[in-house]
Amino acid sequence: MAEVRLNEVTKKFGNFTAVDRVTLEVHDGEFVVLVGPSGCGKTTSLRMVAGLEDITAGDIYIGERRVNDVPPKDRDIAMVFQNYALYPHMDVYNNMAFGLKLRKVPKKEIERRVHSAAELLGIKEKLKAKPRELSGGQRQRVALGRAIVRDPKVFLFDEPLSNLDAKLRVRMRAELAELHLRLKTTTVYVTHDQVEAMTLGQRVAVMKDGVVMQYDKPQTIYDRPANMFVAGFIGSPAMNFLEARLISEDGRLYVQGKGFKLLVPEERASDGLRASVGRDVVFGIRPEDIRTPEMVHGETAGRTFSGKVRVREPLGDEQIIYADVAGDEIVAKLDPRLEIEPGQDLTFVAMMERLHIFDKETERAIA
Amino acid sequence: MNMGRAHWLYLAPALLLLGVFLVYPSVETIRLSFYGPRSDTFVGFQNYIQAFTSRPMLIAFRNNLLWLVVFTLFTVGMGLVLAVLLDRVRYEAIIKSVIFLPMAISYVAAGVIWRFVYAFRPVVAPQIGLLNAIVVALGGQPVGWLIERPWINNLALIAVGVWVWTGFCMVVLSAAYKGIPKEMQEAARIDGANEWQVFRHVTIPFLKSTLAVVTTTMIVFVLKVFDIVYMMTNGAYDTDVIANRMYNEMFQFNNYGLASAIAVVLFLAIIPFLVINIRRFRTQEAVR
Repeated sequence: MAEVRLNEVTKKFGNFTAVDRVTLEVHDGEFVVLVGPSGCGKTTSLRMVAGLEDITAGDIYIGERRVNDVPPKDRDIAMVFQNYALYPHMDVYNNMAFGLKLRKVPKKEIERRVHSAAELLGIKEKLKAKPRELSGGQRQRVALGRAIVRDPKVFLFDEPLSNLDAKLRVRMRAELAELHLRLKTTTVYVTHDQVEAMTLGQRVAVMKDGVVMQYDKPQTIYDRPANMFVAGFIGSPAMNFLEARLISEDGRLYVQGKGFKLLVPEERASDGLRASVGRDVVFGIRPEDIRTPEMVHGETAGRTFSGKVRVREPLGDEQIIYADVAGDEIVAKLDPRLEIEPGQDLTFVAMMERLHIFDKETERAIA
Repeated sequence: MNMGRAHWLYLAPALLLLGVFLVYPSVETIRLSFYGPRSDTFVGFQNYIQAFTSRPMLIAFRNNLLWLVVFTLFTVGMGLVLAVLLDRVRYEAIIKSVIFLPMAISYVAAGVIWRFVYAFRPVVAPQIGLLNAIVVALGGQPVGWLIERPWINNLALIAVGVWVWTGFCMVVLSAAYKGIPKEMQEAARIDGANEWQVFRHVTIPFLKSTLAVVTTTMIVFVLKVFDIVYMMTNGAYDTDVIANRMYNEMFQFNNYGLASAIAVVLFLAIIPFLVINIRRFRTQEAVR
């Protein structure tokens, strides 16, 4: 096991910069997820750690060793690919044993490791089968097994669950988490799926246009997104953004925009926020932080605004309401048992202790 | 309508054509192979004995065997190497087109071209052949490429065949090579394989069925090889091959009996490879 460090790593394809000065540290035994929309450079970053792509600038370390010029076979890593990349002409046993055979591991030892991995993954009775005889989930388990038997320093996962159907994906996600708990191998995991990122990652790096926008614990990223991109990317439905202005009245801070004027709670009125009074900002509030008066116990003064309901999406455990607030659309996640009809005028309550304020120019979080 | 008889009606045109142009000539050839030069006297296995024991035929058998091994090895081998290596080259398409180009040239034209390449003049005269010009320029003695028996001239002829057919093997294998998922090779690299091991354990197994098809196709071609030899030496200086032998017996010496016997021998030699090819084709169809 080992830590992985990326130091100012850059990758260019011709004039296109796929990864731009990424600095990232993965602790020994940590499970880190790189997440972002397609083309954000997450897979390229992973492939550079694997040694499948050259590094244009910067350094990558695995353990204490700088691996920039070390070929993949000597990096002591194992990788699981999106489409499994099993060897079709080998049976399951040999798919898993291949890497060990190349490393001249004694036959007895290979047998022991393959069998224990197969046991762990529940594919013991499939060892003689060829990959084409397996289901998608079983193939992915074989690909996992191929990584496990090697007992590498680092696991690299490149969207390993995206070829599976939704139900299986949820199950494999849990199995991956459990596997990491048992093996405690340093893991870098790439996905575009924010749920996978949140559930699997001990820390999550949100990437966009080759740059790491935020690298932190999943809950921190959700609670305190560093900028509007991260705020909009993590969380579903995405955070509402409304143009607003910070104003100060009688020593109290308000965020005011088209159709709303909301009181900033005392505990959130930081110095940074006070310094931005009078400036144009973006007010962010998550759909789950918008309620109706019926859902709120206690005082709602200074926290309400009204809108006209446009669409209602009942999901059983919740309902998603799309409403028009003075020309802007907001999305709210509400109690499914509230009777709400499209066209209805509705009063909303913003949970202002969970507000987000972003600088309109830089899109960075102010509070 | 009685379907029991109707199908014969539909089959009739095909059967008629096959019968007239395939079955009848084959049976007739087999019959003639047991008769004398003018097809009037029954000679039993006389023609076959000659086909398997006469010196020209033994030389032809030896040469065909040489063709079989060297030609197949080089066309398939070089085709494979080129397919894999050119995949990493920027001007792949242009280079492949050039290598494939000889396929578009007729054997007669290829023969003419290569007779110039191999042309040989006495030491005192200027060498107009490309190869000998190079040899002499490097200070060597001119070589009779098509005369030096038994290895140089036969290999020189085989080289022409390789020149023509390598492009074909390369194109077919290259198409299959490009079908290999890149992740599979990357997985092998991460698993600890060096480039040779990736080639040996991932690439080759993946190309196996294509390699088999290309190889049997080359073997069937090489057993029938005729044009190149006919054009360049017409079998002189011990370069004869079975098909050219058959042609000469038939049209030069009018020995119909012996020519037919040689044809039958050639036919029998090719059958196993045809069977292999058809079997493989069937299993591939079955998989679909």
